[in-house]
Amino acid sequence: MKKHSKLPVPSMALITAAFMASLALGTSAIAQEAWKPSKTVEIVVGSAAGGGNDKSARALQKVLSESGVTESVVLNKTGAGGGLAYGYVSQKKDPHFIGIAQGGIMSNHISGRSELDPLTDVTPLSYMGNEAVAIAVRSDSPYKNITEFVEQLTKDPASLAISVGSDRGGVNHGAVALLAKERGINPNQLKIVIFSGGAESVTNLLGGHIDAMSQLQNNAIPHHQSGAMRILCLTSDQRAQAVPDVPTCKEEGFDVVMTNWTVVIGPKSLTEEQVKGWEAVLRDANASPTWKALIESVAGDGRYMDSATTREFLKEDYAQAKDLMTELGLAKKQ
Amino acid sequence: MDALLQVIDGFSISLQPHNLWYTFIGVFMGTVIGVLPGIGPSAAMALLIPFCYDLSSTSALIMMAGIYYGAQYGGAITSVLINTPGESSSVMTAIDGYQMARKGRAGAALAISAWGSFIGGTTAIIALTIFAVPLTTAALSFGPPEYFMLMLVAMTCVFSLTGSSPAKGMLSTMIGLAIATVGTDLQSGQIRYSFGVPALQEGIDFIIVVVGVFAVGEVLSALAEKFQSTGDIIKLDGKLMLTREEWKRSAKPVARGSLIGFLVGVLPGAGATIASIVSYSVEKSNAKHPEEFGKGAIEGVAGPETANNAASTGSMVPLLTLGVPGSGSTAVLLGAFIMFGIQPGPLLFQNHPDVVWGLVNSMYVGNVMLLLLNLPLIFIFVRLLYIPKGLLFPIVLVLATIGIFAINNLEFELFLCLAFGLLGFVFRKLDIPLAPMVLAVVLGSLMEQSFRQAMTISGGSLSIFLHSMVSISLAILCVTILVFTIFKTSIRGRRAPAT
Repeated sequence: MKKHSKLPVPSMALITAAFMASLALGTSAIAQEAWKPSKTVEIVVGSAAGGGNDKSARALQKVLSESGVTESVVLNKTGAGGGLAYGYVSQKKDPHFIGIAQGGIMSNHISGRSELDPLTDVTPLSYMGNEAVAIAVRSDSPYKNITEFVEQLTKDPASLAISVGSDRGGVNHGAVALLAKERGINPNQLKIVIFSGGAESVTNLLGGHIDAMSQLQNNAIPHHQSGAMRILCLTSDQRAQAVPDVPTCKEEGFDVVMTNWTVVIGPKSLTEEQVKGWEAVLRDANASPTWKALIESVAGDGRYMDSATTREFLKEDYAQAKDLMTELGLAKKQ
Repeated sequence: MDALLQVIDGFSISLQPHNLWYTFIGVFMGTVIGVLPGIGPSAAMALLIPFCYDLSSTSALIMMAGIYYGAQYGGAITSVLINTPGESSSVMTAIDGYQMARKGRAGAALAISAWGSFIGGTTAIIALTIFAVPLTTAALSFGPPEYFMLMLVAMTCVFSLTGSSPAKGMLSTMIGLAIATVGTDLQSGQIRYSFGVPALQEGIDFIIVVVGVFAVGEVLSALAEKFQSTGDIIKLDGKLMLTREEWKRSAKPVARGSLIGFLVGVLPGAGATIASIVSYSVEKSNAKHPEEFGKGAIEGVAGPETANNAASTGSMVPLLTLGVPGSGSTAVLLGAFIMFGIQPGPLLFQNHPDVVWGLVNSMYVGNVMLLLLNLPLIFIFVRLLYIPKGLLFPIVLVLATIGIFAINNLEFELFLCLAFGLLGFVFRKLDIPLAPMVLAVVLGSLMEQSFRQAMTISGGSLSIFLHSMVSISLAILCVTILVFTIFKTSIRGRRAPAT
């Protein structure tokens, strides 16, 4: 045994060297491959537990865990119209902080409620899908279609009380304002009622306290199916499978497409690899059964867009929202 | 007949061993969460959602609902023992519950809370089983004008029960209403009184106010008492549980509380809180000795505690039949339904009878479990009173801090809570009642919003408040309470001018 004892020494060095070399090679290979989350990810949400993007966050949390990518926690940080939550993500130097953003990130900046600029202060990572708005009346309403409904508004814009949920200047309000504008009605003359949310709009419409609601479609679809409400049109570019009898506003001759999208955002300063890494993770997440079920639960559209496309989309969306909100007198004076 | 079969079938689902187990986990967690001030059931349920994915939809919903109604049981415990309501619906319990504890009847106060919650909860489930669908139509007749009148009734009740000095009660209410105006105004989108602080844009969370004025304020005044050495030590006196006399006094309040709670709970909105206020004032006006209220009347604990539990079950009605959540916690429950691909609403009873009745019937079992869980726990919880204040109060402060920080993870809100603690201390020193302020914070914004919604719909005409029978009846009720209160105060003033 002793005879051989000297032999392994040089080979040990050799092995070590080879090991080191392979390690170095390995790291460079990983760096080229892609960045991946390597510790617990914090998913930050600007609404309380149970709210719209909270549901998306918790679905994403499940997808990330199931696919073995990483464990994550959901952090609810309400305040300043989402500004506090997105501001928290924005300043992080660590890619393990992401946020779920919806239309509010735009409208709250335009109105001056939030200082966070959605176009420059955060990095859009992926577009994960959207949900359209439904214009609905009670089934005993005299208005059988959107044309009759808008005709009545042409006669007297303030003759119908329309609820747009909780968000003055948000997508629900935008949808009905754009419909009115299509027929030359000043959207400021509409009688808009604000409730604490979509659920309250539903009870008030069913109870006959208001004439119509412009509300994300998940609020109206079950009642359309049960026959208690009639959806006049949807602001998507194609019909929803859950209610195939409902036309889009576009089909009815109103050039209005308005959706509430879900975009995953990351900190302001991310490297290209980190963005690419998140894109890969989120593209898979978008195609997962859990995410598809979430989209299906609101009869939404689960289309995916990568970071660059999302950035372009947001720019366009911001400009559109700003124009409309300025006209409604809701944009911050500059 | 079909419907009856479905209900019976629901029992076979909810009595399966694994579902019994999830009912138990739910109600146990609910009790624990209800005890901790600040950490509400909605946050706890949301945290639990990721762990529910592997369960069947019925089991998961049974567990989450258990947290929801279980938390109502626990809410009374901190109200009675340390004068800190964990939720807005337990504010009324603190008034007489804490006074009972000071008289040595903490055990009885907790026992009647548990029994009241059990009876109220169970009655409400029976009512839910029978009346869910027809009641939905009644709930829909409440629009903005009707809600405003209901809030007005609740605020009138609050004002009428403020005891000796209406002026002080009014002051407390007004300060509460002022606090409720902070934040973004829903109707115009304008930000009010935020003083440039981003955290104030969403308004001041009720929990911050309640933990501040009750918990922190209590600690501060106990500290002051210690320095002036006027502090009295709370002891237990007599039988730990209810005496025959206390049972007799509680029977009617519990019966009325069940009814009031369920009916008010069916209305989406601040159901359980309003129910507890209405129940308290009904009990006070029906009592043989109304002067005992505020000084430890068991009726003042039995009624509201029964009513808030019945109401939390009642608010399952709009959730199940309309898909409309009445509160933060039912919103999370709605989210859980949707996550499992089940849409609560008009078609739920037809499409998923197994889930609905499995869930509803599990609540009977859950309430029995809660009673069996809570009665023995009283022996442990009352021991809290024997903890030296030097130890107990730091623990209260730690719990309060954790609870407040857990809401939004904002340091600012901790300072805000401390400021409300100072306000609570000042109120105590000046003998101004705390409950009207706290309740005005909860109801103020709802009241304002429904008033302005009604004004928008009517185009600015006040006549909308007299358009429906519901709002006319509520208006008459409001005036009656007001006249009754003033009349009674003046009579009492004449009889006993010294007070």
